[in-house]
Parts: sequence; C-alpha cells; structure tokens
Amino acid sequence: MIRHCWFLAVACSSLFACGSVSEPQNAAGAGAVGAGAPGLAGASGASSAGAGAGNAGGGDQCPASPILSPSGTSSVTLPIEIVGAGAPLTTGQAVTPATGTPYKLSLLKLYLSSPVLLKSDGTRVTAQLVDVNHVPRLYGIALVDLDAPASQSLTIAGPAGDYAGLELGVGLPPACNAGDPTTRAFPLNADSDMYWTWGSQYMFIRAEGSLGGDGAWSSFALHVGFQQAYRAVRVTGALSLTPSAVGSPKLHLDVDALLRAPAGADPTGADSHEGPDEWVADNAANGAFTLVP
Amino acid sequence: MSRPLAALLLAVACLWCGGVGCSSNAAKQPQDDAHVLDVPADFPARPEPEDNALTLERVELGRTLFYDTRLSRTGLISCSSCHVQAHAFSDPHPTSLGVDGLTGTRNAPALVNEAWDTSYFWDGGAPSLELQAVGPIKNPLEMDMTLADVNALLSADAEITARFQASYGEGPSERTLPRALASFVRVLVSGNSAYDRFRRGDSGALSDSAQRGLDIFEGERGQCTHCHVGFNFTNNAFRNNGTRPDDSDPGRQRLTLKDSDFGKFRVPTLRNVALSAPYMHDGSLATLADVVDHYDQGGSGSPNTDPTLHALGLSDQEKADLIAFLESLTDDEFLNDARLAAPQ
Repeated sequence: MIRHCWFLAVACSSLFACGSVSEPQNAAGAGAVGAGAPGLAGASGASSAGAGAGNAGGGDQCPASPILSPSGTSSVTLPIEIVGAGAPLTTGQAVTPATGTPYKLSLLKLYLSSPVLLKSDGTRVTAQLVDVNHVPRLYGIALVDLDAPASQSLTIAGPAGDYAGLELGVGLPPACNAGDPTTRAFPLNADSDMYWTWGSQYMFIRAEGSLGGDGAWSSFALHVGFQQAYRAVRVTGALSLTPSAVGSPKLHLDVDALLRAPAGADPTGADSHEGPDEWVADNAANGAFTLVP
Repeated sequence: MSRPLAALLLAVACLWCGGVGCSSNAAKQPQDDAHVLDVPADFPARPEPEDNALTLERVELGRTLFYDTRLSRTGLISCSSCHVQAHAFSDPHPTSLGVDGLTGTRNAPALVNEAWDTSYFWDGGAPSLELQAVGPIKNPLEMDMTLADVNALLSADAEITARFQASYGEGPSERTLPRALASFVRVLVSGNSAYDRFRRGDSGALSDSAQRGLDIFEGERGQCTHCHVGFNFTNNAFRNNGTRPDDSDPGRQRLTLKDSDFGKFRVPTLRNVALSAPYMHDGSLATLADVVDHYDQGGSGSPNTDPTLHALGLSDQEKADLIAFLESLTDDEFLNDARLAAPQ
C-alpha cells in the first residue's frame, strides 16, 4: 500500500473539500488560486513598447531603469563603424579579407552592455549607456544592428574627464539574459530577433550570411549565446567625457576579425546555429573591437 | 475518531460524490463552464503564476486563440492543428506539419496536466507555459509568425480585442497573448480515467489484466515508476530512454551543454497515453506494444542510455497486462469535454 500513499493521503485530506462541492462557487471558479484578483489587469506598462516602458514585469531582475545614475551629464558619443576588409560594410556586400575566406553578411546584430571607463592609472569608473538625449537606455543595453544606422552609435555617460580606454560587455548580464521577454520592451522583447524561444534566453551575437566566393557560397548562421559567451571587451585609446560630447573617437568593429574561425570551428555547421560558439566571443574580446581616433 | 469510523466516512463521502471518489472533477457538470477551472480533489493544488491568475474569461479567451489560425503566417495552422483533443491534445503524426508543409524535428507532446509540469518542450527549454506558448508561434517550422503580426491581426478584431481588455485590461500584446494561451492549457486537466476511479474506490473500474499491469508498472517487474511516478506519472526529470542509437538530437544537452545530458528528454505524463501515439520525443514508436517492447529490451542501445533501463524479460501476458493498464489511463471525459473543444 505504500506505493499508493500519495493518493490516500490526498483523498483523506480532501474529505472536507468533498463536502463543499455543493457550495456555490463564484463565476470564476472557487478552485482558482487567486481568482478574482487577476494579476495582470492594469499591471505595469512595460508592454507599451518604446522608451516609455517602465520596469518590466514584477520581479524582473533586469532593470528597465539604469543601475546607476550618471555622475553629472558628461558623456562621449562613439560612432560605431562596422568594417570588412578595411572598408565600411553593408549587408549583401561580398568581402574578401586579407586572410581567410570571403564572406557576405545578410544580418549582423549584437548586444553591448555594462560600460566601464578606464583611467590611465588603471582606475575603473562604472558608466552607463544613454541615448543622445542622455536618457538612460532601456535595460542599460544597446543592440547594434548592421542594417540600422541609428543603432551604430554609442553614447556613454559618466564623470567628466579624460580616460585611457573603455570596457564594454558584448552580450547581456545574467539578470537580463534570464527573465520573461513577454513583459519586456525592445530590444529584449520576445519578438526581438535575438531571443531564443527554444531556450528562453538571448543570442548575444547574431551573424548570418554566406562564406566562400567564386560562385560557391555556403550559408552560415552564427548564433552565439549562453552566459559563458559573454565577454568584457577592453579597448584602449584616449577619450574624454565632456558636457558637449564632442571630439570623440570611433568604435571600430572589424568583422573580418570577428568571424575568423579557428581550426576546427565550422561556421556553416548546424552546431553554430545555437550555442556558445565561444570562438566568436573570443574574437570580439581579442581585437575585433578597437578605438580609433 | 476511530479508524473504522473514518474509513466508513471516507466510503460514504466517496459514494456521495457519485461513486467515483471525492473529486470535484468527477462531480463537475459537463455543461457548466465555470467548472472547467476545477481540479480533482485528490490532485495537488494547481500551480499558477502570480501574474496570470486563472479566470474563466482568460481561459475562454485562450481557448478561442488555441483554435485560431490567425496565429500562423499562412492562416492555416492553429495550436489545435498539432494538439488534437481526440489524441489527448497531441499529434498522430511522428513530427508535425507546420506552415508550407514544413515538418519539425520532435513529436508534438500531449497537453495533459501541463499546469503541474515544471518545464516545457521536450528538452525543458521553457520555464513556464507562458513562455512555451511563444515558441510554436515564432518557430519557422511551425507557425512562423511574430507576436507583433499576430497581435496586429487580433487587434483588428473588435470582439476579441474587447475580450483581451476584459481579461487583462489590455488588448492583444506580447504580454497578453501568451498568457491567454497558457490559461487555456492550464485547464487541460485529466483525472477521471478508469485508473482514477479504481483509486477512488471503484474496484471494478480496472480489469484483472489492468490490475496485474498496474502491479508490473509499479513493481520490480516493470520498474516504470523510476520515472513515471506520482499522480501525473512523471518525475518531471530528463532521462535518456535509449530511443534510437542513431539519433543526433542532443535533447537536454542543447540547454545545459553537458555531455552527460546528451539525448535526455523530459519524462512525459502517461495519462491518455493510449491516444497519444506515436511515442517518444521523435514519434519513432508507433504503438504501445512497440513502447513496451522497447523498455522490455532495455532500450535500443543509444549512447548515454539511463542506467535504470535494462532488459526485463517480460512474458507476452505481462506485456499485455501492462498495455491494459496503460489503456486504463484514458480519460474519455477529458477527450470529449466540449468545453475544451473548438468554440462554436
């Protein structure tokens, strides 16, 4: 009889419930826990897309509002230049890098997050990503999109001063990589092209296109995610945060370097479609990004 | 209270409830829509997310959406295309047909008592029914839509928009659409099979063969309860059941990235299993007899097979008894419940 215990235990404890069957129930059904207090009615405005979204969903550990308040209103605006074979890159354009395989991109997107300003003495100063009007970016992140020129600019707010470099997260912090995308706005919503519905997390880098040349192109879809693919990318070079945000350097993303596959990695393989693909993340951390005057 | 008196009261109470146990499900009136929210009294309480409390209007909205082909790019596919009530909300095809005749890679699971499960998809990739609901809509092999496109179509429909507003205080949105769908799936509750009636005291509900099968199922002969345990016949864990040696599907490993999780899939409920053929994550076994043979052989030799699987040496009679028991898990009331069918 021991194997039947779950049944008997519940049956015995439910004698009184059994007696209450004839009692009137409200229209929503008395059996529903919390019925009559719908959790969503009039809840947060996070689903109203756009910058107006409030803190997404109750309990979301990925704050819609920034983690820090900027110290003052100084900032620097870095144009992001996405280059292939040394020249500005567009989708559909065939690129022949100095070394490696020719490629064409049909899509390139990646998240940037968690900026840290680096002083020449090694001091780290936490900063934040803002828009051109100094409004903190939703969730404190930026989604860079090769096909969206407006996304190819990064304004970083922090204490005024001269700095010797910058650290940027390529990918999402863990709290933002988890959570409920249906209560979040772009660029972390479920419709974001960066969300893996099968795994309930986000791609950090998404690069699609084809490799080859000479008329023999084979498609690839590099979808790089999982928390172990997050990289804090350090770029060095003089930059100054000022109230006017002028005189800034540029942030270069060299796609040749980003997609340079090490021996044994096959960007066209099915495995690259969903996984850490840490070689791409390593490339991001090791030279694909540079600060140029 | 003396033990005999308690036993007598239990017996009387069970008779009072219609001779099928102290179950509000058993006592529910099929035409009474409000009772679609009921849960059998001998089931654990149904878990429910704080931000999506079950209400009848949310369930009814989700039901409408579940059968709505506007959720697919081609306007031809609804959730019910691959989750058919007569098949315990599963698909008789090994892998389902999505938009443009495309096929997926895994068998559409039966939607039975999903409210009690702790993760969704065969590999557990979704932590809630709400997030699960997003997957098939966006999957290019299934419905191939964005939530924005679905919601645009729904927002052009004044009647359903009003129902969203009444249910969630908000029209169709990325937030409300999956919540409504999840609400409907949460009431797909099956708990009135012959097995349940037997448990509740109707000793004639199971045939002698099915009772022997139950003993095999729970005992050392079958050892099925290593995984298929509890009121819903699942431990909600991931196991490699040795389905196909040549199967390249990584299963749970896809999410955990651990080699030890290769080929592991979520242990499904067995309720209504006789109606949810074909079986296994890939739909590769056509009949219950095939499944019983599979486990009798200790799997098919795929790498990483769970160590609890081993050859059982069941006799033909034992196999027949086991199948008779599995067939006793069919809940005709659930399969024919008009409140779960397409709205008229």
